[in-house]
Amino acid sequence: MPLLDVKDLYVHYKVKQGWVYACDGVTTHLERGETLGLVGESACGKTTLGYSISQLLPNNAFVRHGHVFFQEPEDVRVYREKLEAWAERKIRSQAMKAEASGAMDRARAVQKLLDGQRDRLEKDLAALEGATGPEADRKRAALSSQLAGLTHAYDLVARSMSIDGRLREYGPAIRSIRWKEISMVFQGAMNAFNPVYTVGAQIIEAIQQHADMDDEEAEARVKELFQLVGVPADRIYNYPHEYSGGMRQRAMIAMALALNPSLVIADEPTTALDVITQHRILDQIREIQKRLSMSMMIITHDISVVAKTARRINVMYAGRMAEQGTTKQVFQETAHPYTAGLLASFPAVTGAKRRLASIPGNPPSLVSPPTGCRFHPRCPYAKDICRRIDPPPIRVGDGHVSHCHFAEELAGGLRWVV
Amino acid sequence: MGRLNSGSNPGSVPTSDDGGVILRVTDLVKHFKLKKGYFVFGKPSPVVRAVDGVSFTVKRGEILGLVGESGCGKTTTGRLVTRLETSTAGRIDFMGRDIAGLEEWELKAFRKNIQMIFQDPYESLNPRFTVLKTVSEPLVVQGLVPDFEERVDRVTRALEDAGLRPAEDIIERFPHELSGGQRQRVAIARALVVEPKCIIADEPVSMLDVSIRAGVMNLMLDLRDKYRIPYIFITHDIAVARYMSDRIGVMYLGKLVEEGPTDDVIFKPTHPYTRALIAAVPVPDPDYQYKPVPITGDLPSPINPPSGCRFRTRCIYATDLCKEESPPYIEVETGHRVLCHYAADLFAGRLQPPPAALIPPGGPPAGGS
Repeated sequence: MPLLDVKDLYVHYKVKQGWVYACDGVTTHLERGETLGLVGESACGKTTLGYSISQLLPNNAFVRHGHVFFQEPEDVRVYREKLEAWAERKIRSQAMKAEASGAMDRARAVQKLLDGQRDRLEKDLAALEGATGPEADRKRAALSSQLAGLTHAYDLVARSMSIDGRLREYGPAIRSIRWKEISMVFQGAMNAFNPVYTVGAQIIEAIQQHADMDDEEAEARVKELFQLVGVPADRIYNYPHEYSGGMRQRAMIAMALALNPSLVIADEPTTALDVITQHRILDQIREIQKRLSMSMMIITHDISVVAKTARRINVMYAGRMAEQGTTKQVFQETAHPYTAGLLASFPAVTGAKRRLASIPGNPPSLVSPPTGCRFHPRCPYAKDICRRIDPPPIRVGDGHVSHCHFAEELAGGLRWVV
Repeated sequence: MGRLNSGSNPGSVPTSDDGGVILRVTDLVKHFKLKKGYFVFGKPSPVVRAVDGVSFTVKRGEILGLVGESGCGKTTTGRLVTRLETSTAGRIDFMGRDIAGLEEWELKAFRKNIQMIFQDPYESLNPRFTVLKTVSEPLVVQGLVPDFEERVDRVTRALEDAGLRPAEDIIERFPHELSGGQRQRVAIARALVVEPKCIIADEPVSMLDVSIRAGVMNLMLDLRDKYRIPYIFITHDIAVARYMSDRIGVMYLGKLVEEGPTDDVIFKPTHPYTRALIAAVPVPDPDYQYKPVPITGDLPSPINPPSGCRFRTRCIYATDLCKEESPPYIEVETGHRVLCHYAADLFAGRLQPPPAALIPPGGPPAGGS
């Protein structure tokens, strides 16, 4: 049962040169209690995706379209997905005839169709007004649950979207969820703490902002958390500069765990750390995640970090998903050329030494990304179709999806061939 | 071919004992004095022992990888060898001449022999210089090629060596018009253009994206094969060091704790610190079974390093001997030396770790698990 369901998310930044298509039609999901690794190079949109979920985007970010469903009840989700599939089929067949426009327009047309459905349901519900008896109650319950799916009552984006497409920064919808349900571990733990307050005081403040606890309770909670992440409890009275890098990162993790969130988004949690510290923190993250059975999203550029920690992997390239599947599927039954290239260019300390392959060219600018498949200028398998048409998600295995026109031919033991 | 003009065949194997040694560093020491506080009159100012007695040699055509955690002194070692810093003590013999004591006026002429590639290509290139100006600057400063046309020729050749083909496309560009990988290639071209005898590369690929990184690493390996230029390759990434180097030196708190041929160090790590370091490296394989990382505690301050063996505070094998006496280098196999009292026993597997001190794979024991 998914905890988080991101659907067709389009987040673009407005800049002088136009739009930066940082997150361009991303669909993913996260089950309860699982760790998802989000991998990609710099500027592939992975951090934008993470920050759109916790709604910490900068002011020039616009959510052009998309949904982030969080803690959606099962019946609501099932109904919503059924309707969405129906609307998508319908739009696709229409789009075929009309030589369809971009993916975002299509997603918006689907939305329009669903909005019509919603109005109809609302009318039905209004017609039940005043009716009593078990039959009417049952009908009303069913209708309102269906309506919840269509009005996106569990959609974080819809609930805090302002008129111009920006997310309201301190909107009431996200404030009740952020840190309590969705917390973050930021990349620069060096800068994430305020240098003039003790670390303990900052975590206590975070707790008291969101939960009704007095000072003693909050302090006891912080000490408990420090024990959990392996920092001596009396260190809560120290200032950030008295901590080592690894300890600061651990304190950051403690802060993220403070209110028992159901989802922790960790943005490059170990990138600035030394190997031994990284090893300890990754082990700790894994252990805590298992013990508290929370969901985690680890955003990183390092595929060896996700190989170690994540059960499922999403590989992103230039604002789009490239490949999604379990860690084993992505590593051993690679079905996207970009993933294959990434794996072939990564050195390891184990096994025989082999010459690394590099992917020719450079990652594209997201202001003017290539048409069709965004990877086609660098892809050894690219054909004419790749230049013209966005690759659809193609299912190549159980829960294994590759966004490549030739995914079926390439799937399983794809090797980089440059 | 033969750009080095050293007269010898680039592919020749050194025959004599000292033959082929380009760089020999002996007991290199660098202490940084810290600023005294306002209220500590009389006391000597504290000293950071960044590099504390490091010795190694680099042969012609050989790549020495220096690895270690941040603050271990690997970057300082590189800067000492290029004479960007002046050492406190020790010798740096470069092609038979001690360069540790060179005066300012001698340095300028010397610098064409050892070039450096820096970590961040966004900061190491002047944003107002075109590629041509950046790469020809060392030639101008050294007064090597006075003729402009000839200089452009040399720059073009260096750029093409660095994989920027065709060079004409790029020679008039400014750094902001280049991608990260291209910038680092320009930095490599700038180091190559004076035909150096040795290159110090300080984390040259850690700022680059994964898909670009492999290309730059392969380029550096190819250049080594082509011109037999030795490198000192400084990195924190052991997997990268393994890929790049012929020999690896592991540094800890200013000391070179283990040094040897790459595969010997990676597959037969002997110093307890090297063992921990290698066990901690994440592996891009979801099925990999991690071994426990035998280390405790955190890195001590280089201002007050522990007595005796520097590593004893974190070592699971430490005894009283380690506290009292600095360990000697012990050669455990040919060319593989380890700075540890118990190196021979560790290498032979005769020393068993105390089981309680082992850190379980789940991290240090936290309360309540």
